[in-house]
Amino acid sequence: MITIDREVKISGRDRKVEFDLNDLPDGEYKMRLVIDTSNKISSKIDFSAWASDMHIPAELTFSREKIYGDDGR
Amino acid sequence: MVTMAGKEIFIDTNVLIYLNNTQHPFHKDVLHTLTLMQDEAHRFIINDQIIKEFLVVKSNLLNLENRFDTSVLEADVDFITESFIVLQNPATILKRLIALISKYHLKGKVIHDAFIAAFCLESGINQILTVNVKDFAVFYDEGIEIVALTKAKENE
Repeated sequence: MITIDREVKISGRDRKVEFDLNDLPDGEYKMRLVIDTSNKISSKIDFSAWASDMHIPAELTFSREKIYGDDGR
Repeated sequence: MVTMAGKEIFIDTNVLIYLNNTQHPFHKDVLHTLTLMQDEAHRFIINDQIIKEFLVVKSNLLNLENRFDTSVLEADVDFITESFIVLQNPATILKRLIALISKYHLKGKVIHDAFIAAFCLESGINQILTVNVKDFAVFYDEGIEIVALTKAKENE
């Protein structure tokens, strides 16, 4: 019996988790994975951490019509 | 106004642009709104179209300031994909898009908005957070609620 005790982060596109079973002898094993969803470590996103210091004129607004100003071509 | 907690809400490109730009007057309202929604356990959904449009705007802004740097764009994409749930387009999206174009006689650039609406409808998402509420007003009858920003307090 091997116990893997680790914290994993599932976020955005990063939804794959790898386990290194290098020490396990060759063979076929039954593996059971239990994730404790009642004990989330942290799921808060710090939106204020994502910021740039570019100066955008206050009157400038972004609509999809402007993004595709050339009809999307 | 958001009243139900824990719902999935689609995040429009303009929300990301103002979130990323602290100097813009809409930044505080965007930050305040997302923080409130996160406290209400909303799940923030985007698709590849939103990331692509963000890159269009951000790369242009960087270029205008002679600061174009792909590592900045790469870091932006990392933050976006780590912070928002990126869903793939449902297989039925084009059929719904054509239905919307036909029903509302849509032409030209508004079809980009219609693609977002079709994405939401086919993904079971009925709220869109956007700064440009009028962009999606035509789809209100489809059952999509257009959510505007919540005003931040002066000292936030």
